[in-house]
Amino acid sequence: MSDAARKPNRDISTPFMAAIFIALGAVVIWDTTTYTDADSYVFPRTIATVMIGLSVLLVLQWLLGWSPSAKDPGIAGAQSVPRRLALFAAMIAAALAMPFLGFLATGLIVFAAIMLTAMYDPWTPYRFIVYPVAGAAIVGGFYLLFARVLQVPLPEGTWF
Amino acid sequence: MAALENLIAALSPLNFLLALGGVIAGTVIGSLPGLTATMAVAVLVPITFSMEPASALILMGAIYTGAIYGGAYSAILLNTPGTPSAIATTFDGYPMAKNGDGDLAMTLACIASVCGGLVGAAFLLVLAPPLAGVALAFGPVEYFWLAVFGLSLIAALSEGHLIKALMGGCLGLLLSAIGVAEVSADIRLTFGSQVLIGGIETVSALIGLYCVPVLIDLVATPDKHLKVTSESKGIRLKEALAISWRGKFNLMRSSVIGTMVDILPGAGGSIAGLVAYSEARRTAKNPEKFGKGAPEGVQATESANNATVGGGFIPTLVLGIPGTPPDAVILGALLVQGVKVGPNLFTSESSIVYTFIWGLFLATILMLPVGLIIGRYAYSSIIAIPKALLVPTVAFMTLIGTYSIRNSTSDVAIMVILGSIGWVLGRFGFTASPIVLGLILGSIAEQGFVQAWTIGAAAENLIGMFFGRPISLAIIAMIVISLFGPSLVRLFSRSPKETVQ
Repeated sequence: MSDAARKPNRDISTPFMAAIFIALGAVVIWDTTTYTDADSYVFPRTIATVMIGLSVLLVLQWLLGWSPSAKDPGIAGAQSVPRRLALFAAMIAAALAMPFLGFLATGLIVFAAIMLTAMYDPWTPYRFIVYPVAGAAIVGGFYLLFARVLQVPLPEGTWF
Repeated sequence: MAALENLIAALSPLNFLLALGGVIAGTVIGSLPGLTATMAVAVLVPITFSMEPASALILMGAIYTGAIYGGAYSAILLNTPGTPSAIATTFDGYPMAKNGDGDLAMTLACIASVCGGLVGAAFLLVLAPPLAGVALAFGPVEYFWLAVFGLSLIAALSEGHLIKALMGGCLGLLLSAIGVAEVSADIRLTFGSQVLIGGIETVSALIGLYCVPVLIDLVATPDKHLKVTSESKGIRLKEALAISWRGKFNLMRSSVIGTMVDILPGAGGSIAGLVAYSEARRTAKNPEKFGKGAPEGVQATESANNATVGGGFIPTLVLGIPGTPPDAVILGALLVQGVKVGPNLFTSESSIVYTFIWGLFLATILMLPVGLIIGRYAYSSIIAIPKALLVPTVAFMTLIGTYSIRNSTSDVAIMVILGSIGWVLGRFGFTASPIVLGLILGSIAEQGFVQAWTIGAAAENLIGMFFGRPISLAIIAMIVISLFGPSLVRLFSRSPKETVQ
């Protein structure tokens, strides 16, 4: 039996994530060198050091094969990656567009975009009419609740 | 006789309607992610200016208690705590909902909230002046250890990955340090970004870390959001009452913990819920069931966070020191009314205070029918709404809720990015809860640590400062028990035969 066949299938995500946390800790420690007061740096520096120590411990645990079975980070074939990305893009675009389009317009657009993203059922005439109307009512209702009743100054938008 | 008069005054038709309306409004507002109890009280405070002080207090107390309870709805049904005090409700409430027991979890949460609210109000009624003295015995170092006690829950939430959970906790603590340092005003970890100077808003981060991953997973498959059982079981009140009766000690202990923790100004309902959850898990017969849908977890958190309402009023009314942010808003409203809070309030203006306390009892009792009815419709709505409407509705609620906290679009972007990072970390075994714990407890831990360090260094007695005070030692003992108790019990409970094997 070859070595490759004998070796268990090692999960490389653990050292990868540990490396990211170590790099993050190092960046934090580097940033703390610019602070003027000991009161400011003692806490983040201590925490960053502990985080680096824990990351090293995680790698050691992985090297020695003591780590608990890691969750498979892969994305199962039945799950849609494009839909996930579309949801993230729609939400982040909403945050960026709010100051320009205003909250109401942004809300309506992002609601429609996410509705299309989450739609798995076929578009029947009923759904084609009811879903957009329900969406507009939900967005409009929340807009009125926050802007008029709760007096939250929602962005008006600069493009309109 | 005076007590009876105050009780009758609290039960007047106007006060009854105010308590009922306040509970309904608070429950609805608290159930929306991003709208906290503080906001619910603050928004409705102007209505109270024209009222009698006792009626105003009853309305504000009812809104507050309703909002704290309302936070459980989205925690159970959407894995997003409506208010920070419902964080620990997500740990078991959402798994229960996913397993088809969402209706039971909602009813359990309602019963637990009522129990907690009644215990908190009872403490306020009977023991307010002596208990307020406890708040003064807590110095910075005790707050530090209390925050560490909250963080010790990370061990319980580690799901077999203790090191990863601790790393997540560290990440949360570092996130809490972003922005202007509270003690020395240095700008930290912003890397030149103006957006980060204000720090990461806790509730926004909480919405992102809990809710965005759920949304990301929801759109990825055509599966139903929650498991739906074939027949409708209603509110399952009988079953919930039986479980509550079996867990009566858990309910009482958690309620007392909630009251005592919130007597400490600034500790907040989230710590109370976490400490109660930790204790419930530590003392449970089957602690391994916690985090997978244990009803005891929901009971502990919900009773503790509603007990904080009465507990928080103790330092507010007796010392003039608000126990929680909503208490601070209520204190401001009382000052506008010309009511002088302080130790003499319970004697000089006893009719106002005791009418209010009876009103708080009334509001808490009204929470049972109100909560059961709203809870039933909330659950049936969530399972009936098609995914194509549910996902954009929840996403839109996270956007508007996050924006409304500080009127900031940057907070919305941070919420989405943090949520996406949380989803990625979750794929690699780093769960959201330790990160959230670190984020919430970070500022309390840091302030307590730095202040205690400064005082200890000035007195040249650092060790004595951290380890020489009786209350600190008691909390340290609880931390040790919380972290190592279950392992030690398992070790010593093994039979010699098992040990040899």
